[in-house]
Amino acid sequence: MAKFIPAKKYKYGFSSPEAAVFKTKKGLNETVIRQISAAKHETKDMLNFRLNSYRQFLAKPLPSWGPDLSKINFDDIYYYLKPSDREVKNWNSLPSDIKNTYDKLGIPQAERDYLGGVKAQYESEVVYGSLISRLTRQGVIFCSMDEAVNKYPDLVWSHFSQIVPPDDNKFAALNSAVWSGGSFIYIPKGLKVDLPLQAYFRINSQNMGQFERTLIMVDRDAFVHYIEGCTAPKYSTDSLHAAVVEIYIAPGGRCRYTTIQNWSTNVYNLVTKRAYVESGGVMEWVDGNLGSKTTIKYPSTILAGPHAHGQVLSIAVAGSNQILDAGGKAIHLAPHTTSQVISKSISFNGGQSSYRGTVNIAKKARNSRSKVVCDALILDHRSRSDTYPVNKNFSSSSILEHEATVSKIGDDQIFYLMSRGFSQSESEAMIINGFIEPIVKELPMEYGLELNRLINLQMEGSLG
Amino acid sequence: MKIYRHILSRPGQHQDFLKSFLVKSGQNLILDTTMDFQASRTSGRTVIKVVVMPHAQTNLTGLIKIKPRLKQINAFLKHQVLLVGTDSTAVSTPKLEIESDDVIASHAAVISPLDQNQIFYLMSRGFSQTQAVNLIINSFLTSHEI
Repeated sequence: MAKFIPAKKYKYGFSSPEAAVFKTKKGLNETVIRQISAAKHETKDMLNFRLNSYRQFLAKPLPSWGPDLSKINFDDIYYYLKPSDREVKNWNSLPSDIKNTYDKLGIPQAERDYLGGVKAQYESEVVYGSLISRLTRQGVIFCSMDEAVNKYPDLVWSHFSQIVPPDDNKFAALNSAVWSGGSFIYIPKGLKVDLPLQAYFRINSQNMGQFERTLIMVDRDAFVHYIEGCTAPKYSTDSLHAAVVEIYIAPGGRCRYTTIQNWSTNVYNLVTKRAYVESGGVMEWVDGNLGSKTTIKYPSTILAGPHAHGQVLSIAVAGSNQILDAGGKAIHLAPHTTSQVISKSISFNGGQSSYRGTVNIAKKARNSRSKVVCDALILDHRSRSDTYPVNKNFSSSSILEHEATVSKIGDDQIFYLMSRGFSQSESEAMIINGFIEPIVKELPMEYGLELNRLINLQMEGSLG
Repeated sequence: MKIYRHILSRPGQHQDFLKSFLVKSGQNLILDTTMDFQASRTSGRTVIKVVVMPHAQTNLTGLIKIKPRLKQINAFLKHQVLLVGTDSTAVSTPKLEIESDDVIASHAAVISPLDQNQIFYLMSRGFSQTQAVNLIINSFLTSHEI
């Protein structure tokens, strides 16, 4: 077996000088929360919501299971940073250092031509937004969460914090207390948005927590594909990313949520993602986790109406000193609901990847069906791969299936490919690309290419 | 509550653990199995088959554990649960903790109701419904593939 040498230089590990207009003090207390709320000109309702959430945050313990989170120093984090005074709609009017960062990542052109609209999250606030006017005319709302709270309060409050309440877990409470940025999307009845909507998340300021809050509402028989891509500059001290994503799908609606995540390897990525699906609705999570120091993320689907369907496709690639605790959850509450979880993980160079998931078929969910498949590749003896599935079936007419495999790359497979003339590293790369291919093919093409490139980059030195 | 713990500490050791249970109405079967691989060149299979009758429940936990720096380990864990009638429930948690790379470790879990097609087939051959159900349950419990 070839040795797997980690990428020495983090590809996107550059940073631009900070030019923040307003920044709260390090650490978290009620004053900081009041400052955040005041800086955003929020209503009293939202301030009270934040303060209540903060109390929940203090009351909740850290999770007793999973990766060690005790190293997070909550007092050493900036909770709010506003990069520039107001949102700009025009690319040219963006501040130049922010533009430079995006140029290095190479996103500007493709987004205008191909993607429906972009909300680029730079530090804590959405600074750049463009939405094709056709979508606006059709009634699509795609704006920053802060904007939405002021502009469409009734729409926002109808589902905001209903799907992931602040007392759900410690990090949901933290997010609820200090959230800023994130996207709000509303797709009106019957509208199928044919272009994916995209947001780009970055952490720039050192020790900056990023607490974005996203709410997507898909009305009856509507469809949207939302893409969230993450890269972050490399820093030596730990950063914290605790996002909350809530999705509401009305009867017959469909939402696909794609994440490609490549945080630098010092970021704690603790995300609560949950969708509530009404009858006949479809929720699809496509989740690629590559970077970060520790990731805890289980995209969840609550199948609340008959014939609802939920799907999770997840890839985790854990390199040296990384712990990726990913998976998926499906909660079946109504009859004839179906769900599928497909998880692929690769651990190498001392990396640790875990699948942790729950399938719960409630008593009322008659004739439901769920299937969970987890495959793991473990590439050397220093790495580790765990699987912790919980399968609960309380409905005696429902079928629940689960399977998982952990293995290394088969010597016979390598032998076969090498006997056909490939080098060892080419063979390994080919097998790994084939291993993740069922998920990569679900991504838009350029993301599929990017994911393959990122994985090859992580395993640089061994794979061709 | 039943706890079974198997330790494979001798190179070349093979362990099969094939068990069937019938959980009668009102009962709750709680089962916890561990197969702990501590030596190279070992293999083990755990296959748990459970039939849960109406108003009964089961909670199965299984663990395959493979220590670091072991070679040539083949491990398999399977939970197979048949839910009979109404109000029978099952929870299955098959876990893997793998710290070596030269392994094949897999697990599977199925929780499913009686197959109505099988009952239909048997009844069309002249069995009563009760006989058909009993036949399926019996063959399910006794057919451990060796």
